[in-house]
Parts: sequence; structure tokens; C-alpha cells
Amino acid sequence: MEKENIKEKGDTAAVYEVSYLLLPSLAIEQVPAKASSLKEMLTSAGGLVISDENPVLIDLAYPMTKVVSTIRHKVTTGYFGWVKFEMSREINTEGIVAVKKALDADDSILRYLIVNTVRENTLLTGKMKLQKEDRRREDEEGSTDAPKEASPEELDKSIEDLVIA
Amino acid sequence: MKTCYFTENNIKYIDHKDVDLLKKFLNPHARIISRKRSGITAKHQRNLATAIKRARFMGLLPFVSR
Repeated sequence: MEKENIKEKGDTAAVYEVSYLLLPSLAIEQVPAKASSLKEMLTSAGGLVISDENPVLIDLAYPMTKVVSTIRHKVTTGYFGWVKFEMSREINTEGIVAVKKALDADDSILRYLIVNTVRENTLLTGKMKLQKEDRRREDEEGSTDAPKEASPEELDKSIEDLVIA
Repeated sequence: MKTCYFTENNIKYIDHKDVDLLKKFLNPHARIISRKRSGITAKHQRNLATAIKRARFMGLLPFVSR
């Protein structure tokens, strides 16, 4: 899809990332299997998986449609996952075309995006989380950050110090 | 004095999956905040715009809101 040239000298492999949305009609048990079959597909196309994340169900920011054999599916949720992989520069043009073809042919993929990226981890927060998990974690952090109440003895001591001063 | 968020935090590559980060640079209508207001360097603003547009395509961020 979108291609940028982030070529580095002496680097023989290009690093790509495929992010994809799977249809929510997929049962939750089928999702990890689907993700691993996608990774297998990438490997068979000549890619080497660097890092990945299993799909999680997210609420889409806007409704999308996917036409599968003349039936329009309108969806508002989807399983979002991504795989980062490298491909040697000798085969990457044909390799990426093969990957694209395979992704296009897959009926359970709502949308996908192939981008050129860097090998290092680019997510600041580590892994993508479900929004609910995120909120829960924030709550927990909020509770731990609350200042500890001083024990009565400590209070007495500090008051005494003040009086003396 | 406005400072560039990405230069300050030494962020070289802006990831389109980092929704929480990208949301900081959207106004309530989900439009991208201009360079004048965001205070980001030109290079980072360009990369940020690309990242936001990719996130929009993948349904992580809205095109319009409200």
C-alpha cells in the first residue's frame, strides 16, 4: 500500500508491518488460529517475523463495510492485530505482492495496511490494550499514587519538631 | 515557549497504533491540530499526519466526530 524509503546503508532486509482488522463474526476461539495462519503465510512468502500481537476486539471509530460474495457486511467492531516482519531486499517486491494478494483473497480480513517501518519497538506504551483494560489499569494506578496517610506517631513527631522549632 | 513533544521525548518513529499518543494532537472534531498550535517541528508534524491518517484508515481514530 503505502511505501516510504527508510533505507539504511548496508541493510539487506526491509522491515514491514502488516496491521489488519478481522471480521467480528469470527468466533473468539478462531482468532489466534487465524493470526498464526497469517504469520505462516508471511513466512511462506519469504518473510521473517520480528514481532507481533494477537488480535484484540476493538470498537471501530466509524462503521465499515466488507463485501463477501455479494453480501455487504456492515460492522462496528473488529479484531485488530499486527505483525512486523523483515524481507530480504532481493525478493521484497515480489514478496510483498504475494502477501498483498493473499490478504486480498482472505474473506475474514476486513481491512489491512502494509507499511514500511523500523526494527525497533515503536509502541511507547508497550502493547496495545483493550480500552477496558486500559481504564482499569489507570484506576489502579490512581489508587497506588494516592499519598499514604501518615501514622499518628509520625504526625506527633512532626508536630513536636515544629513546636521545638 | 512551545516545545516539540517528539523531540523532547526522543521519539523517532511515530506509530499509527499508538492511539493515545495520536489523540493528543486531535481537536474535539477529530481534526489534526495545526503546527502553529501543536508546536511540533515540521518533520515530526508530517510524520504525525501520516500516522493519524493510517490510524483513521484502520478505524482506530475517527475521520470526523461530533
